Amino acid sequence: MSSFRLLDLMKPFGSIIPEIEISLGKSEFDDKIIYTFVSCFIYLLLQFPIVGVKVAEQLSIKDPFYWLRPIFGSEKGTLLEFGLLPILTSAFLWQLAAGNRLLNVNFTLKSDRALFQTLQKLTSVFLSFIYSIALVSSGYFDSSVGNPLSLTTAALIVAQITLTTLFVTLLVELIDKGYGFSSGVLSLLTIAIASNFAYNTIGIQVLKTARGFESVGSLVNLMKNIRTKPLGSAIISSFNRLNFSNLNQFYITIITFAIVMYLANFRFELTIKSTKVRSMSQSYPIKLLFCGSLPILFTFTVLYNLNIFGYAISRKMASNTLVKTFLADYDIISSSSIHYELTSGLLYYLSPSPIYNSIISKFLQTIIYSFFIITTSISFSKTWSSVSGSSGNDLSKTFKEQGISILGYRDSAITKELNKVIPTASITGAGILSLIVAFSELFGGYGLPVSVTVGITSGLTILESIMSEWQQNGDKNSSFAQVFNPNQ
Amino acid sequence: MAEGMEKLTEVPTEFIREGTAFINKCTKPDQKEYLRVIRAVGIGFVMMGLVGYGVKLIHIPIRYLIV
Repeated sequence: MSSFRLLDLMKPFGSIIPEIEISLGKSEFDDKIIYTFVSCFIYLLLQFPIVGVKVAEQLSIKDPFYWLRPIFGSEKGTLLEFGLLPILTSAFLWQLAAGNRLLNVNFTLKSDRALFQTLQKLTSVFLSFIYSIALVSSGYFDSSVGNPLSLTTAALIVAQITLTTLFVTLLVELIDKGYGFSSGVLSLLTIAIASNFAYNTIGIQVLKTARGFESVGSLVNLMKNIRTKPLGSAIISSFNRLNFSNLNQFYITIITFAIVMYLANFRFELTIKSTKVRSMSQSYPIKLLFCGSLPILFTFTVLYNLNIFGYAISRKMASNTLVKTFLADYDIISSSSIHYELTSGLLYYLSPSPIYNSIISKFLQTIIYSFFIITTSISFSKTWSSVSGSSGNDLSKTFKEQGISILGYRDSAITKELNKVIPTASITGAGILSLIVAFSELFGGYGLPVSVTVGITSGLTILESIMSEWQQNGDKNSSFAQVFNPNQ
Repeated sequence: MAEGMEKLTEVPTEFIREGTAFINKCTKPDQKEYLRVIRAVGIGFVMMGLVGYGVKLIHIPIRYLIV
């Protein structure tokens, strides 16, 4: 009858993998807020140190992914070693596969949707398993558990990280299935990014590194430096320290924030009019950042994946010069550093690594890195705007169902017009956003400005869905009425 | 060769031309709207950050308790 489908392989797993049931009644507005809030709270609480990794030694893990971590809400040496990376990777992978008809799935069927979800969940857990094995076997945890790593400890670490990912997929599913607002991944990302930003600016913890005790927050560090050092060196050292966030990152982040907020309000206004009811014409905005921060997220998902495997391979074959020159090589700049930096290979050119080999390689790095970010984001947004269910065809179908027409266009021309506007908007938006991101990274942002870009655009998406929900059925007896209608 | 180069530059220039045309047609936020939005989002973001950071701070005693 029907040919073999990958999706059908998921059938036996459907009953094994835990699943969130869709709520029977429609969730109340208040409930949704509480569910979202509590899920985010649980996600943040998951940053427990891995059993087996000594708390005191957590800092001694030399971190090769430090410039990618803020974007994915991951934290080194904790259960959230990979944060939301496995979930995002599997989501992007399968959605793109389904959109490009590589995976045969009929989203109108309920059974197919359930199987697709199981496939995504299973893939993210599996990816997390693979990542943790890659890291454990490449000696990432060795310095923090005592060398050599025993097999039990290794298995324990892998099991913990994998199970945490399974748990996080359930948290995401909880929000996705209508208990919370809009997308689960975006909600968790927003809160993780916001708290990471607070941690990096006003973090009051003091951690012991080889350079002595250092405050984590950049502003706290500045205050401390001003009190203890002469003014000039105090300011300089707050700008250029490498182990924790510095003032340079802080200012780049603030500038990026201002620019992205400005761009987020760019919109192309279509004048629409109801064909059924005689009414005033309204404007229907199509945002410049049509895909939000997804193109950027996708690009950095690719980079994070490349870096995990690049790190594992380059550690495994440390003596192989071919791997070193062509793939990647990670090294520590100074003995006091807690990060690994990329020093050579393909991945060096795809990173904002501060290592300076020669003027030519630095120049090439700048060009290739920006080019990679911009082209990946643009090509992603091009595909995404047609597969994500918000394409011109889909929107014109919705318009037709609701009896809406665009002023100045005949009914037949609406689809054509929307098909022209939406891809242009999403591609242009992605292009500009990726340009900003590439600049901020090359000026020494190390992930912080990118994370804030992702954080505020996803925050805006969630805020929009909260507001539209509030306007549609915001009941007067909601206990959050004060927050949303302060004038009441 | 020249033809190849032309093709290579055609895609980006086309993209930039369409992009700028689109941006010029866009409604841009005026200063008042921009300041309002940036204040609202900024405060929201910082508030979320503080709450999240508070949760992170809870961790410190827990870590020492469980180890």
